[in-house]
Amino acid sequence: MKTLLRLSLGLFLLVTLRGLRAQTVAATPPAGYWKLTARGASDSMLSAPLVKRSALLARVTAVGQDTITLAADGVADGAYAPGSGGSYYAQFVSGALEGLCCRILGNVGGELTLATDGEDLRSHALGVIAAGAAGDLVRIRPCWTVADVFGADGATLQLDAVADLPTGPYLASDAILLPDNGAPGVEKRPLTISYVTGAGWRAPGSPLTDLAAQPLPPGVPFMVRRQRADPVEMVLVGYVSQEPFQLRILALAPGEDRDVAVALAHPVDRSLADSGLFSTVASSGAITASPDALNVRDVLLEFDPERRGFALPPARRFHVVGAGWHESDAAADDQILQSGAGYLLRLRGERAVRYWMQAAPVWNP
Amino acid sequence: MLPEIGVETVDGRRYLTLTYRRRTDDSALNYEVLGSEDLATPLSNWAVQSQTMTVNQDGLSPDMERVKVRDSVAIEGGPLHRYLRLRVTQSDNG
Repeated sequence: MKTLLRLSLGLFLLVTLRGLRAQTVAATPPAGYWKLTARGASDSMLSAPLVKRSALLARVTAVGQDTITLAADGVADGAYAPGSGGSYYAQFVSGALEGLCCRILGNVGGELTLATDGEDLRSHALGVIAAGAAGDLVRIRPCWTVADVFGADGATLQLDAVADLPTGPYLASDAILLPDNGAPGVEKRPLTISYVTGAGWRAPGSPLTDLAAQPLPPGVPFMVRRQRADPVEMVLVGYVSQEPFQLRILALAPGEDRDVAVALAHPVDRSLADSGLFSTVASSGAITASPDALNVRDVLLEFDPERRGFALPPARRFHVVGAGWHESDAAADDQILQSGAGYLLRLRGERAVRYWMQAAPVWNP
Repeated sequence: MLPEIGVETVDGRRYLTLTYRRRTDDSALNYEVLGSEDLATPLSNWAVQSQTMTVNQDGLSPDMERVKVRDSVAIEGGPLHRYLRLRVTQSDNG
């Protein structure tokens, strides 16, 4: 695997230097840090706009119902399977599924088994996955984990530990609240994780399960519950993804409502109009237009990043009428989605699977 | 090889580092690490970082060298986000 990684990165450098002959200048993609600040005595909806270092980039050679095989020799069985060290995801870098990320459930050599939410990769809604010598490119990256962001042990812990796992519906302790985008319904119960002294990251009801490696998927925010009055700052150190990102929004059954927590996957703010959240292409975007302001269907909920308190209601609600974003009656196309924050889509009514495409960032030369 | 981002603590403050490999047999190639807190800033306006740090040279071929450059801005007290990039230029006689 290391050899393949070196080969793929060496190819990048070769291409870069060959480009130099003509252009005389080339630069690598940005990498850096991003501070995530959780307010004191509050819930803060945050997200990770940087990614971890790529583990592999390879072409697809074969496609199965929930598997893809990559042209990657020497990959150890289980190398990308979820484990105590974390989880990996596969991101399509080119082709019809460009930008789509799927969790890797396991691998036998270069054959990856992916979490597809029941979708058949051989007849995918986004199109055909090219395989072979000109197959689609797929990148494998590790997910951020709870331990990466919030600390792996008492020495690196960013939040306050608790002596025992809290009980009851409200957790009066520092905690990480992970949304459940897979379940139907609104105002759903999150997976709540606290750091228990002497035990590690744990969730109520599962005191023996170590959740240090719990993945924080790209494009999905997390809530940080901070009890003390002073804020806490987490520093992510990682890379700026150069690829578009595509988030799969599950289908809704007739009469069903669903909250979906979402975030920008790149460290670049975007206006609502440029976000791709709404598209006139029926299968794209996440938001369905409402008939008018009195009959609002889907909404994007924004939380006040300055307001203190717990279980706060959303501060702003945006919807689409026609092809334009609105807040109540006011036009809102220019409203900005902040990178590093989190938002909630409240989707109402039957629909097929949708895909929210976030374009790759474009840099100044 | 793509550069690797990291963090080093100096005098109790943390700084970004960027570690890259450079060719030692091509003097026409010039390597610079650039820093900025704004991705939208044109590359020509990113600040050149010149603080190099000692780094292990194991496993490299004789014509390659590993270089580690430290950012000039500490994370503590620094901006909310900051980035480094490696720029490679080739002189005309290359």
